[in-house]
Amino acid sequence: MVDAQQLVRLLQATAGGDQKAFAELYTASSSHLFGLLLRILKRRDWAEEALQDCYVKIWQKADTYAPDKGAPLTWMMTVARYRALDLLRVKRPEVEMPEDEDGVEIGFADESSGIDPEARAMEGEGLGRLEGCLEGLQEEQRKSVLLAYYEGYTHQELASVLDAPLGTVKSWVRRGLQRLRECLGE
Amino acid sequence: MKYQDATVKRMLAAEYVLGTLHGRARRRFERLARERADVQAEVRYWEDRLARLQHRFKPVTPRAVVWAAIEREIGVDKVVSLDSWRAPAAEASTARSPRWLQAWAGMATAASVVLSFALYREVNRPLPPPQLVRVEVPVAQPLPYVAMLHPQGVDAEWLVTVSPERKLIRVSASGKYPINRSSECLELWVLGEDGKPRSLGVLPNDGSSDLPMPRGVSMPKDPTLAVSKEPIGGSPTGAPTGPVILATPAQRVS
Repeated sequence: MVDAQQLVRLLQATAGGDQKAFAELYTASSSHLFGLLLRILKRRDWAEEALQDCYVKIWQKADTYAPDKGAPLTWMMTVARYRALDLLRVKRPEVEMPEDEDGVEIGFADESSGIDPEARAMEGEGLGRLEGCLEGLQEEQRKSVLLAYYEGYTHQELASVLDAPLGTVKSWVRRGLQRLRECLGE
Repeated sequence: MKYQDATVKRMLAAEYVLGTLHGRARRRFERLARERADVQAEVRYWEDRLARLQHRFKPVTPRAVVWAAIEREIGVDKVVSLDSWRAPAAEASTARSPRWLQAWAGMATAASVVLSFALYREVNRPLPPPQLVRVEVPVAQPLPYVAMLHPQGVDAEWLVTVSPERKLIRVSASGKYPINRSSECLELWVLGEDGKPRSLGVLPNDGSSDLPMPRGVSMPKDPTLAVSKEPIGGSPTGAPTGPVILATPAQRVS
């Protein structure tokens, strides 16, 4: 497990231009960012490009990290996820679904096959309140939100994978998020 | 869009963080978020809540080549921006370049079009053996190695140019090689003088890609490029583990 305190120290040293600290930061965190990027982008070459972009950005913007932005790894993974989404829209502008007939899923923490992403996302611990709130959603709403989160799907891609009209899918996402907001509170 | 409306603002922030807000609406929202603290707070709210889903991403160790590229970018070559580092090999010298070089540049940039056309003509005919692409004009500056990778009996090919001096490998894919993209990939190798394969990276399924030349890999005098089928993300061992689908010589353009 990555030690958050240590990462905060490394980030602060990186902000001061310490290349050795930056290298340690990379060693401690890159596999987490890369796993996320590979999962969303599905291609190693894109994920590697994105990973490089992320760490160059982290090197340049380490000083903008403040502990009130959340745990350092969470912050870096959020940076990575946005980078992945941007890259995905540029590189995969049209609907292109992964060929997934045999149920092989890449990049999830449990490699037990045959369990779909939303089911996997519901298992395990640490989701706490979010888990409870997700369980409170209608199945389609929950699926839509989790697939958008983990796969980076657009509305169009969700409509295709869930085999539902675009308008319906948009409303699943919107209502799902609305209900989550109500359930999670401030 | 009425950004003043609190409900709309909340929903846009949620969809922005989730990723379902795209294109111009996404860019517009980013601009708004930069200016408005209340919008920023809403974005932060969702980032914080949805981040709890992050632990489901399985960590995967990246190849050493990525760190090498990052080091290069922030370290010794700090003056070289990402864009110039990635600039196409030919663009730097288009202004007064000899005609052959322009021809080569044109070929590289329009490769997918040319290849698509070539494939269109080749449909339903037996595919020719791997061919070399040669440009026969001598020059002072080092030119890339070029090879056309063309697997037998499959409607797919890749134009590969390797520029060791630029530490850049450019690949243009055409057609589709039948693999299961969620679990497999095609990896490009160069056979060294010692006959041992060294990875040059994973081939794109389509379009053009620039791959950084892995550190420590050099091009032998008469290089052979090979492609093998590997698990997604590339060979776990650093050597080919799956079937080799083709091997073809690469020629230094001279």
